[in-house]
Amino acid sequence: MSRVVVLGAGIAGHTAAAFARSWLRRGDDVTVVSPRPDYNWVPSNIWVGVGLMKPSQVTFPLAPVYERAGIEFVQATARSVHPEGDLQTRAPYIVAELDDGTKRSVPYDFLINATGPALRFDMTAGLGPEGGHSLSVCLPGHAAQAAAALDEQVQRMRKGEHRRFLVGVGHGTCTCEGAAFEYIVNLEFELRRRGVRDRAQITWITNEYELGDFGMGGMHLRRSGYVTPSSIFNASLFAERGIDWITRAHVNEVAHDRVHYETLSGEEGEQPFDFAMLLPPFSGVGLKAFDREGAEITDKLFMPNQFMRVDADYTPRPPEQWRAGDWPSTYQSPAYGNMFAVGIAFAPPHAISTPHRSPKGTLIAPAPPRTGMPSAMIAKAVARSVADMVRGAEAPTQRASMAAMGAACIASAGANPFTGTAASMTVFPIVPDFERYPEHGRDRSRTFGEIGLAGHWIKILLHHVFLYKARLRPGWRWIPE
Amino acid sequence: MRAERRCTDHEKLAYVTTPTRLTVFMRTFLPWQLWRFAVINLKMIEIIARSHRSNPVRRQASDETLRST
Ligand SMILES: Cc1cc2nc3c(=O)[nH]c(=O)nc-3n(C[C@H](O)[C@H](O)[C@H](O)COP(=O)(O)OP(=O)(O)OC[C@H]3O[C@@H](n4cnc5c(N)ncnc54)[C@H](O)[C@@H]3O)c2cc1C
Repeated sequence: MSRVVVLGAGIAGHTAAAFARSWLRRGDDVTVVSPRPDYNWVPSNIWVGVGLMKPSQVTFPLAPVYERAGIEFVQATARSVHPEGDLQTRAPYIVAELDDGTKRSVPYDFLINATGPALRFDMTAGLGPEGGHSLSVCLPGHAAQAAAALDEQVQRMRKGEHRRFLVGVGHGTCTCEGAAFEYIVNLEFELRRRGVRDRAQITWITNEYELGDFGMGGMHLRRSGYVTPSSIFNASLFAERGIDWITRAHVNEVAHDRVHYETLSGEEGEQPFDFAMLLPPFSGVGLKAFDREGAEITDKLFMPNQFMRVDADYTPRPPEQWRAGDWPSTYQSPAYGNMFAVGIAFAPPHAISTPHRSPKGTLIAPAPPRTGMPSAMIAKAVARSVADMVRGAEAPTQRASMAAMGAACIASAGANPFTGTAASMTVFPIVPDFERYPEHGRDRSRTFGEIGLAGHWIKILLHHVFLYKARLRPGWRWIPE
Repeated sequence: MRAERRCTDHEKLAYVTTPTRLTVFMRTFLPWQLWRFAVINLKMIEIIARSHRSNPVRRQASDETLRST
């Protein structure tokens, strides 16, 4: 009998736990340790943030789903990993903190870390909805708060006031620009739908070197006889929607009515706002690790950014020497063969977009995104490797490198069944491989994007299908990630 | 619902590619979008299938696992 413990019940952890359960024998246990009682389909938080959905439409309670599936659920926050056990026991375990502050240790034979990101609002003064001056859509509660603030602005505009909206990222090292992009175009659409667009000034602020970079170094699309960078399409959409933009920016401070920022050219600026939705930078969640004697070995398991070291090549290299082979494929810890990290929790070897520094030395560089599809595909591959290792395989049996995997992504640009649109995009591979595809690093025939109503229908379909799948309803296994 | 041009930086706008009226119309033209719905779904399915293929599986161990479940 083996015990597989999964930390985190987001897209990656939930996928890993569900597949591990279905591939392991009855006598083997699967336990999920996660702090919140609900599953959240994060991509639809955008619609909560503009008031089109309620938090209850993007979440559901995990306990009944896990009970039905035969997965043990411990609602707690993992704090530390003890991969060698301690002086009393040689069995590895994790220590988790329950809501009431009590600690509980959970032993494991295999550990899958899927704890996602820590939302680091603290890295920029005044950033974030908890004690700061900006809003967020990272969590359903944050998104509901953004929707309420939007309603208030709309009321004021209906009375004739002009309002300034600022959307983007709140630090030079943020990732998830795609999510902020979805929010700004949905916000613009919603203001039009509510008849107040003419009283709104909308500005995008980003750490991207060019629009449409999205932390993936942008992409190149074949269109009308040209291979065109995504910056052209992004700028076009913003111009069409009347959205102004500030690129190459690091937000230093969010004051109550303006942000202060610096750019790569050394310019220092400020942008006033009445409503700001700025995503935070991410780090790992800060798990600590200890050896058998109780000495701290966090550095051995985790990178300085607190994401977990896996089978990537972490040797620091200049961007011209980055290779597809630097990216991990089994997600196994090099230190302990029974530990894996999936989704946002694994440490990428380096960025995908070229990093830049301002004259003051500030790093302004989008971190690499790990979106829903790769997170789930990696989680499924790791679940299979773990199931195989429980049955005697000596090493991971599956590979899922982001440099050999594509991604399909639908970015909503306005939610309405007849007038809405979304940008449908596919890239292959996610991490450019310049050895295989010397020109732009990606297979051009499989890297595609277009805007239209069809994309919105697909986005709606995905919302329902993925929530159905996450509820582990009949046939869930056959729905692709 | 027509988008209004409110971007204040006219110099920036002068260098931006903008869609023609036909392009904008086709984005919400139902018959065309029904066709695109089918095409985009097929493209995405191909990407998913290819992603599985490009990450080769060491067949033996997995197949054994599958047989025994
Ligand atoms: C607003 C928004 C919109 C997005 N839209 C899209 C989209 O349209 N398409 C797309 O592909 N991707 C999208 N993404 C990205 C996508 O949401 C992420 O790729 C995905 O959520 C990553 O999954 P994950 O499981 O690694 O992390 P998460 O989903 O963040 O899950 C992490 C889990 O770990 C738990 N946890 C945290 N700390 C601990 C701890 N100490 N112990 C135990 N558990 C812990 C959390 O509670 C959570 O359950 C979006 C992201 C955001 C923020």
